[in-house]
Amino acid sequence: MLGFVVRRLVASAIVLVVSSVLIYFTVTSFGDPLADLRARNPPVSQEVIDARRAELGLDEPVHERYLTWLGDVVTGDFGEDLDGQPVNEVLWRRLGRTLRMVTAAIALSLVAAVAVGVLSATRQYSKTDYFFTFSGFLFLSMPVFWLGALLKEFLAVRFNDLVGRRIVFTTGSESPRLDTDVWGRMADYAGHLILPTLALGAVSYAAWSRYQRNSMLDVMESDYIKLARAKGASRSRVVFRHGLRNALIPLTTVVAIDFGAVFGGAIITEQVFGWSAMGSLLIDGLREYDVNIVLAWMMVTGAIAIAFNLVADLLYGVLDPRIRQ
Amino acid sequence: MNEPETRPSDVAAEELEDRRPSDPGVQPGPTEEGLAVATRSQRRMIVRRFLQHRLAVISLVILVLLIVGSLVGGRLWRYGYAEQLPEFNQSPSWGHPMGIDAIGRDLLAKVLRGAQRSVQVALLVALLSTTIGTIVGAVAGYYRGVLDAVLMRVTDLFLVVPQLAVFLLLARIVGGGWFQLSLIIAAFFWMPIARIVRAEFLSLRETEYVDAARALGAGDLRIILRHLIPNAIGSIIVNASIVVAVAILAETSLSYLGLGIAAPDTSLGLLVSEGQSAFETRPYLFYFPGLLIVLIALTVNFVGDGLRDAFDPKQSRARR
Repeated sequence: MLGFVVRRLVASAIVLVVSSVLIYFTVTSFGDPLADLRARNPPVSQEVIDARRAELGLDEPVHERYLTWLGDVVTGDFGEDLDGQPVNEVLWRRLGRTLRMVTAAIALSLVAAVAVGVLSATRQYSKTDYFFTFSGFLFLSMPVFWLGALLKEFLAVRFNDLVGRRIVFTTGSESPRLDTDVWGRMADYAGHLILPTLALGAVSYAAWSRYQRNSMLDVMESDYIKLARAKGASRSRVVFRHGLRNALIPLTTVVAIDFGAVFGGAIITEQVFGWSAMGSLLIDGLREYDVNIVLAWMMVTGAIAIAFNLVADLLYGVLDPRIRQ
Repeated sequence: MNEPETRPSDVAAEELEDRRPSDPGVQPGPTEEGLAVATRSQRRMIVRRFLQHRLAVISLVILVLLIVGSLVGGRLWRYGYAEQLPEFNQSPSWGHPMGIDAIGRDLLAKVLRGAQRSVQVALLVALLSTTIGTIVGAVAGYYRGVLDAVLMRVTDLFLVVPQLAVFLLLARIVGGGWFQLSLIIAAFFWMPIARIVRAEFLSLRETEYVDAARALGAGDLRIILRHLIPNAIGSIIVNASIVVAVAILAETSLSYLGLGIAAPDTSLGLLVSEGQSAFETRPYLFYFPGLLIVLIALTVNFVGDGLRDAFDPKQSRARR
């Protein structure tokens, strides 16, 4: 067990380092961090450009710069961005925001997916089942940026008009200069979270509810369910105690593996709702070819994906004793 | 997914079918060439099963209309997407059903152009990734051994790199053109198909009709092209259809983020992002491109679902 974890972690670390080499060299060979300076009008003198070069350490060969970067990252320092600000500061603040959105979206879509999956499976081929199947397909086919904008226009504006107060916010992750107690802050966070959570959660809800329905159908056909029925267990007991508990096992792995994908999908959601979080960090970093920013994003996201993949594998063994051997 | 007993052909039937390219309307009598009847009725059964899936058939009709309309619509409309007209900032009228924007371009022409680009990207990505995936999977599954190991490690490598970061970075570097964008998207979409085709080939290559073909002197290429791929075609087609849906969402998302197709060219994603800012004055500029994306992706998904049922009724009964 421990050996498995260690082996997986070592392999994942190698993948991360290889990817970081790839990205470091690609960004530095395509992007010119001085392009901004060179394009300035009136033109900047060569001395200024040279000084800036030296300041950013661009005179050193790329592989030496990479090794310096790697050495710093191992100690937990992601270096500075092109403006000379430490990446760490902005990174952790923005990671917190993105995790807030991602966690809420996953929690919501998970609960909804399990409920709908069980409902559809126990009423297979009913009107309810067809309705949820169709809506699942619809959500799978809807671009997040479009759904998000629709929610903004309809849900938020209508709802706020209805209650006569601004409860559902459409932009940002929190109100600026918020000056209230803990509860006021929580309410403010929640008001900003509602729409992004719905938009981001829709796709995973659709995929997971289909998955949960299928695994529930599989389980309900198994012999131990027939046995439980034959013994006279009540229908709800059969569905929830015998069926659902077993049908949840495959879903846990899928959810853990999908965590990385939801994190990635958050880039677009953040853009729609104007959150200054991990997504805009990456987009801006890419736009300016800021190698330290892009790499910091990749390392953190990669580490999260690796961690959740590992959790998925371990959970599977914990939940299903048959796998453990 | 790959039960050999549900597979259609055996070698003799294939050969007969080859020699006699018959017209589909005429059904040969069951007494003469019973094997040919078996093969063709298999194919016909797939078509019939698909036609029974009413939603899939309706979706296919809508999808074909959407695709054809997107590809040729821009050519039929009297204004070009980049054409500067003397008027600007016009509301919708008979001459300009969607109005004219602030710099004098007909908005319907722009929307048609965007639809054309998005559909082009989606189709090209599906074609490229299916081709690459099928070739890689076929070679790996058929030859096994070292070649298989190498190809599958490469596939794994593509799956484990932090895809999104590399993907967005490449999009940023290449930028703009729809062709380059399609190449990049396809480069990240071929792996699932490669794995599926490999798995199918690993089991199909052990079947008797492959042995028979080999005994009759068929070469590797002939076995792969005439015997293995036709039998794996169900999974390939179903996955290609899924790729179309995912690719159109990927392209529009990229363009929405400003990393995909860039002005002066346009795509449905870019149009949505532009339409969003003009929501108050011209809401249809936001709705229409978005609805097109949803309709294309939705109908593709339904068609894919219908195809899956048609090719593999056994799986669908257990899975649905």
